[in-house]
Amino acid sequence: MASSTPASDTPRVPLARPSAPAAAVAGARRRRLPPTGKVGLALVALILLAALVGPSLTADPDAQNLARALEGPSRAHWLGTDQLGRDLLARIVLGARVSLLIGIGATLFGLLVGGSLGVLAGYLGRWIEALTMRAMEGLLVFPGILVALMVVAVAGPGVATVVLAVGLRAVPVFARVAQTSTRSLCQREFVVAARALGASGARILARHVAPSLLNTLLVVASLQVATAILVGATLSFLGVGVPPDLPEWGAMLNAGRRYMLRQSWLVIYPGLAIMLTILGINLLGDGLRLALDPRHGRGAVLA
Amino acid sequence: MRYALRRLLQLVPTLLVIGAVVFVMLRLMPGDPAQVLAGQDAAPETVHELRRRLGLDQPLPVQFVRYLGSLARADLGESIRTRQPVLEEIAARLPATVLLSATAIGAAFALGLVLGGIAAVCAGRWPDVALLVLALLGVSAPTFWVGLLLVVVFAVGLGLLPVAGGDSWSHLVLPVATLVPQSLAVFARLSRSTLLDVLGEDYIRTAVAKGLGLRRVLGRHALRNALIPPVTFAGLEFGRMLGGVIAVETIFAWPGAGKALVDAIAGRDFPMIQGLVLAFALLFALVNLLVDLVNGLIDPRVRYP
Repeated sequence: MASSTPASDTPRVPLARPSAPAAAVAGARRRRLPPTGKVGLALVALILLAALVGPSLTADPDAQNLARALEGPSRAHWLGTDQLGRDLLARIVLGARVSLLIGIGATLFGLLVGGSLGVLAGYLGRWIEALTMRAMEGLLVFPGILVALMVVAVAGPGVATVVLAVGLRAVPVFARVAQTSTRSLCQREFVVAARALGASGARILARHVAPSLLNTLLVVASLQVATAILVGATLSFLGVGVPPDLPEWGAMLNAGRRYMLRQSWLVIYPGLAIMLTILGINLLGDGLRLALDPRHGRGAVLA
Repeated sequence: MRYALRRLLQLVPTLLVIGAVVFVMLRLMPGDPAQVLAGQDAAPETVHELRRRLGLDQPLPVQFVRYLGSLARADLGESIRTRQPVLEEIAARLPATVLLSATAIGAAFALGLVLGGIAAVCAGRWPDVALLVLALLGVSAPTFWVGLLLVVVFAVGLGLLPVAGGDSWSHLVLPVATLVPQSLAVFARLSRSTLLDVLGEDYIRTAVAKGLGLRRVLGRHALRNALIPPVTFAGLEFGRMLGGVIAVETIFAWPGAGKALVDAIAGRDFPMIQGLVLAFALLFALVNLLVDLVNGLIDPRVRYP
């Protein structure tokens, strides 16, 4: 589960901003993205664009032409063809869709499940908190890739399994961040005041705690997407992830491995796509951290 | 010593959790656990015998206790594929994986400390910026891709190093070189930031003010205090690197336990999956125990929380 930064595994994340979300929305104190963050934003925008409209601009990624299999880069096929004569560029562009689906889907799963568990644990406290956090620590006893491999072993390969496998790995990460932030938020004046005014628990969580948590969780989530894409690609590269026919970058590297000594482009370009995606997400995530939390002057980009 | 003993006792709940999670995993497998463990085409008598031995006719809590008992006796059953005892299969493969991971983490740790130190001393100047860029690239390049590129370069282009097998020391070079960049990037960034923090402390200013040379300030005063976070991280890094290690074992045909786990999952060899998951989780717990003990040696404050 090659992680993006140490922070994504050991949540050393700044606690939620003390000010209410209104300040962040008003933009009065909003910081601009640092230059590295803008490079990241550009890279991420490029990948998103490729995933959304790319497939309609390229050749048919599934069109086989065995007569032209394993051809090097040419004017007809900019990045060459694979072992079935399919256009590599078209498959890499479509692969952005698969990889982002896995990365974002798994992160959303981790964010929703882990985040809600963490918020409830931090808000309710007592034995519920102890029990939930013990369970989360229980998951952290296992290396992330081992959790993912166990899910795959139980549920068999497939896209949904990969999303679940990679997402389950992220659940304790989000739960820990949400729990510590919620605990400190619950002692702040505006939450105490809301409670004194007679607001219900649900209202306090929805109107006061959750919005203040959002910045923190968003920063963690952005970096987690990179980790999720990497773990998903690792599973597929190992042949236990998505079905081998699917144009997923890790699966393409696995298929290209057999031909790499003569047709090295088959393993160079899909890997380059993974690297640029992860680089972009990391730069953007670190930039967001700097922009959203002015107190953390030295973010992971510089540290 | 007392600290070591206390830390060793904390291993007990961890082992219970590992046992519980793997127990749940076995129960979640589709179908009858005895059938699953014995293999699809096992004889009915074998399945029946296994069901009785695992106590699958008993209530769940009893089953769990008996399961823990079988684990304590290191009774992991036989591989469905090879018909060899799982314990022997693991014992034959795990050392190669440990050798590979330990060498890679050791190299990344040492190099990361040196590079991070250089960057901290030159903070803001070109060596620092260069390291920053390299670390960003290193952390973003997937380990298995680095491995494939190294094979392409060294097998096709240069033909200098062996790209498959695990018989000699030279076979270790490329797998380790594959694993190092990503870890190195993390260790270097971590060492840099902790060293910078430590160098800002008052006692460092005192040491400089009383006229100690740079080497003595770094070696005697800064390093010891800056070592704890990287050492702690080395334990976590072992778990994080596991995905890369499994991929590297696959790419370079390294005869380790990671490749065996992937093969077992692909072949639905459940006794092997169970045994290898237990082995890796246990190894991870032991590595982190070792890390805590080392931290206790570096900094006595760790021993008295």
